Amino acid sequence: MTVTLTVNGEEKEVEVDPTVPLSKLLREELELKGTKRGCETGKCGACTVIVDGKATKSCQRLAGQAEGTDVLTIEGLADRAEEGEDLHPVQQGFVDEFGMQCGYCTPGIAMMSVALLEENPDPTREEIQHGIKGNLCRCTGYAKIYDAVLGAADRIEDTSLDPDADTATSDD
Amino acid sequence: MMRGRECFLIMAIEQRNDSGFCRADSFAEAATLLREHDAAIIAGGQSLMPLLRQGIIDKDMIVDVSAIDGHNEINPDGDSLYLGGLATHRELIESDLKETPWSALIETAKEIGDRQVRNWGTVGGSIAHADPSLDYPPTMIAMDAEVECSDGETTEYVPLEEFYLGEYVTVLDPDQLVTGIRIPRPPAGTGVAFEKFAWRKGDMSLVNVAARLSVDGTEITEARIVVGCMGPTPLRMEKMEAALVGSSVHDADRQRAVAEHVDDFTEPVGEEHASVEYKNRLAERLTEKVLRTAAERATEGAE
Repeated sequence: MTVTLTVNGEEKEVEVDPTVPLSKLLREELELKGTKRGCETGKCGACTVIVDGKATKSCQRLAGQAEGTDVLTIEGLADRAEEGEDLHPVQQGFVDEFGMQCGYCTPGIAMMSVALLEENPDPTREEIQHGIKGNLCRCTGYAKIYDAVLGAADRIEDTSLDPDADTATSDD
Repeated sequence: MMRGRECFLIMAIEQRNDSGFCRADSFAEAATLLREHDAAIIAGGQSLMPLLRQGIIDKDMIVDVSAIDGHNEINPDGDSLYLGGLATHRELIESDLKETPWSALIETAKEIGDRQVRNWGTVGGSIAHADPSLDYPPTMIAMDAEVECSDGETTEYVPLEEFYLGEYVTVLDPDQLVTGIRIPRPPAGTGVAFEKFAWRKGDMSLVNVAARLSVDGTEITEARIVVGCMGPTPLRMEKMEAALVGSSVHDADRQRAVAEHVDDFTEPVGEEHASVEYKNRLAERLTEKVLRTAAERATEGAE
C-alpha cells in the first residue's frame, strides 16, 4: 500500500505494508533512525513521535493509519530552533543539563517534552514528572531529565509546534 | 526482558506482508468488512496494538475506523450524556463535563495509561476491549451506562452491566461495533467516585472500584458498587448495595462494615506479587474509600 504523509515538513510517499507499526515505517522505509524501538508494546515510550500535534508511541500506530498525517520526529526538531540557534530548546536543554546517560530513551523523551511544553509552557517539576511518565529511562536518570525539560521551558519564548494547537492542559 | 518466544512472534508478524488493512469510511463499511473477513477493529490502537505486537491475536484483516468522520462528540445536553465511540480519553478529560454530574468520568479517564495513550485511545475501543482491568467499566456501570452497538444499519443499546461475558468477550455480534455510550443523568443528590490501585501510576489497574450513592435528605436511596479486576468481568456488588440502601449517608461505620464483605463476592486470581488475600484487602480499602467520597459528594449535591 502507498502511504502519503508529511514527515518533518516534507511530503513523502511510502510503499509499505500497512500493518507494520509507524516506528518501522519511519526507521526502515524513511531511514529516520532517531526514533528508537524499545519494548514494541507501548510500555517504554522510546518510539514517541508527534502525530498531528499529539505525542504518540509510534509502535502503537499502524503504518496504514499514518495516511494523511503530519509527523514530527527527532530529526525534524532542530528545524524548529529559535532564530540564531542550532537546536530546538528541548534539545539544548538536554545538552546543557546532561539530561542523558546511554541516550536510548532521549529521542522519545525529547519528543514527549516538546508536546508537553506546547500544552504547558511553564510546567512545574511535578507536572513534568507526570507528563513524561509514559517514557522509561532504564539508566534511571530521571532527575537530570526533569532538569533538562525545566531548562527547555526557560529557553522557550515563542517557539510553536502548531499555532492552532489546543493549549488546554490535561493534568494527571 | 523480552522472552524468546515473544521475540519470535514479533518477527513473525513483521515478516507478514500480505496481511489486509482497510480504512473504513463509515461504521457500515467496517461492519461489512467484519462480515467478510476474519477481522479486528482498530481505532486509537492503544488496546489492539499491544495484542498484535505480542502475537496474542493474529487476524487476516485490520479495519481502521479512526478516519471515520465525527462520532467523537461528548454531549451532556439531554436526559443522558452521549459519548461518541471515537472520542479519545484526552477529549473526555478536556471536555466541559467537569461541572456536570458526570465528572467522575474525567476522574476515571485521567487514570488511564499515560499522555501518549490518552491522546489516541478511544472510549469505544476501551469499552469493546473487555479487559477485566479496564478503568471505565466500573464507573460507567455504577452510572447505569448503556453501550450503543451497531452494525451500521441497526443500532441497539445494551446495559454495560450485561455487555461483558468474560475476559475479552462481549455480547457484540461478530459484525457489531461499539459506536457510543449513553449514560443517564443521575438524580440530584448523587455522588460518584472511582479509585484504582496500580503498581506504578498509569499501569493497568491491579484493583479498581467505583461507587455511586444517591440520597434523599440523608438517607441513601440507591447504591452501586462495582469492582474491577477481581473476576472475568467487572463485578456489581448487589448484596452490599442493598445493605446500604435506607442507611444514613453519614454512617461511615456502616459503609466500612459493608466494604469488608467484598471478599464474599470477588473471585480474584493470585499473582506472584499480589495474592488473593492482598487483592481482596485492596478491594476492601478502595471500596471503603469510594463509598466515603461518593457519600461526601452526594451530600454536597443534595444541599
